[in-house]
Amino acid sequence: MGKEYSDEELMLKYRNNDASAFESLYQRHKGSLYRYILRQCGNEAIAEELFHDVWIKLINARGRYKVKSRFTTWLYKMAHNRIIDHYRRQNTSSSKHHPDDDNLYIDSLAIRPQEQPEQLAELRQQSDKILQTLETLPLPQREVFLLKEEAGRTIQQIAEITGVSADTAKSRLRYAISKLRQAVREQV
Amino acid sequence: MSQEKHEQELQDYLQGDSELSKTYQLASKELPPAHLDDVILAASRQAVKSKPYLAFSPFASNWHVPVALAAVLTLCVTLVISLQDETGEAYLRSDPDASLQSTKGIDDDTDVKLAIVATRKVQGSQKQIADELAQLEAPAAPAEKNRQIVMQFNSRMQQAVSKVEMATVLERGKAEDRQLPSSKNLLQASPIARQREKAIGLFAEDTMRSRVITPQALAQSEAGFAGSVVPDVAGGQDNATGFLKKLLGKWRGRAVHTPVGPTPYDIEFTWQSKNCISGTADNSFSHHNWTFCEEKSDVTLDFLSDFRGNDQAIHLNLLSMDDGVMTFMADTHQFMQVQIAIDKDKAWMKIMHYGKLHVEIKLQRVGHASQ
Repeated sequence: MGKEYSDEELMLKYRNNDASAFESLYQRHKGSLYRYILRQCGNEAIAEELFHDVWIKLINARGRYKVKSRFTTWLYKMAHNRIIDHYRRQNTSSSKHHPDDDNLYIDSLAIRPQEQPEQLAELRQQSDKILQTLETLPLPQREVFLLKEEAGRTIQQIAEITGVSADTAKSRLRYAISKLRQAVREQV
Repeated sequence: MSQEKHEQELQDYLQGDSELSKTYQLASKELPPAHLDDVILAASRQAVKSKPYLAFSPFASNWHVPVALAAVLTLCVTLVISLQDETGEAYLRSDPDASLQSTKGIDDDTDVKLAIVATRKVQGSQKQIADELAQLEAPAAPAEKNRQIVMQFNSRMQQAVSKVEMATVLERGKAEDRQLPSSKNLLQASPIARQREKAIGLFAEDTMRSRVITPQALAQSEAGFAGSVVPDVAGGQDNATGFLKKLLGKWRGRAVHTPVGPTPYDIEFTWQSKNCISGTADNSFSHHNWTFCEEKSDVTLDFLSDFRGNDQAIHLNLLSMDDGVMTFMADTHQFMQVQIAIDKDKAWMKIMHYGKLHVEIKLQRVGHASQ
C-alpha cells in the first residue's frame, strides 16, 4: 500500500513538477471546494467558473508555494477571496436557489438503498429544509457553516480563512447552527 | 432561546457527528462536472510541461530577488565609500584652503593637481549649495549641508537601484522571452493591413510582458513586419510536419456553430516562414487569424479573433493528439481549448470554452498550396 501523503507534501511534490500529485490533491478536495462555492453563489455556471479560477490560481502559484499554513487554509482562502471578488463585481450578496439543486438532492438520496422509504422521505425533507434555510442565511453565517461542514475546518482556521477573529467566527457559526436546527425542528 | 442554549447547541455541533451534520451531508453530494475536471487537470499538466519549476535551481524564478538585493547592497556600500571619498571629508572642512593645505603632504605633483581639481569641484558644489540656500534665505548650516549630501546620495542611489532593477528586469524579460512565444509569427501571419496593425499592437503587448521596451524589440517588430512581405517558404516545405502540409491551401466552409449563429468560413493557409503557416478567415462578424508553427516535434497555435473588438491573440500549445484529433490548450486562458482534425480534403475545428463547444467550423478543401 502506497504512502498517504499529506496535502502539503502533495503540493510540494506538484511544485517540483509531479503532475500526479496535483491530481491527488484535486480528487481529494474538488467536491468539498465545489460545494463550498456552489452553496454561496447558488448558480452552477458561476460556481464552475469560480471553481476553475481558484484551481488555475493555485496552479499558477505553485512555484511560490511554501508550507506556511495548512494547504486547505490556503485553498479556501483563495476561494473565499474569489467569491468576495465575484460579489463585489456583482454588487450583491444574495443568491438564488437553482432549480437543478432539487434533482441533485434526489440523486444523492437515491444512493442509500439501505434506508427505508419512509425514513428516506423524512431525511429528504429535512435535508431539503436545511439547504433551503442555508440559502436564506446571511453570507458570513453560511460561509462559516460550509467551511465547517465541507472543509472540516476548526473555528480558528475558519477565522483565518475569512479574515475575522475566532470569536466572530464562533458567533457566526452559533447563529447558523441555531437557525438550521430551528428549521429542522419546524419541519418535524 | 437563551444564549446558554445556543452555546450548548454549538458545542454539541462542534463535537461532531451531530444530526444536523448527518442530514446536511446526506444532501450535499454535488461534484464539479467531468469536463471541468478534464480542463483543470489538463491545465495542471500543461503548467508542469511548459514552465518547469526546479527547486533550488539557479534558474528558478525566485532567484532574481536575492541576487538583486545583494547587488543593491553591494552598490550601497560602494557608493557610500565613494561618496565619503569624494565629498564627505571636503564637506566637513569649513575652510576651503584647508583642503588645499591637506595636499601639501603629497609628494607626487600629479596627484596634488588631481587632488586640487577634485577639491575645487567639491568647493564648486558647496558654492552652488550655498547659493541655493541663500536663495531660500536660510543659512548654510552643517545640518543643511548634510541634508544635501543625503539628497545627493539618495539621488545616486535611486539611479543605481534603477540600473540594477533594469538589469534584473532585462534578464527576466530574456528568460520570459525564451519561454513565451514570439508574436513575430503573428505579425508575419497578418495579410491584411488592419490585422498587421493589431499584430504590431500584440507585439508591443508581448514586449510589455517582458516589461521592457527596447530598441532591439522595436527593430524585431520591424523585422517581423518585413518578414510578412517576403516569407521564407523554401525551408518550410522541407522541414514542416505533415500536419502543416495537410492544412496548407484554400478551404471553403462554414462555422456551423458560433455564439451568433452559422456563418461562412473561407480560409487559405500559406507559408509565413520556414516553419509557420497562417490563414485569416473573414466572416461576417469578425476575423479569425490562425497561425500554426512547428518547432522540432511540437506544434503551436496563435489564434486571434477580433470579435467585439478583441485584439489579444491567444497562444496555445499542443496538448494531445488522439485518433487524428489535435488538441491545443491556451497557456494564459486555460479554459480554452482548440481541437483540429484533418482528413485529406476535409477538416474541422472546434473551439471549446470550459470544455463546452463554443465554435465549430467545418471545411472542405478547394485548392492546394500555391507554389
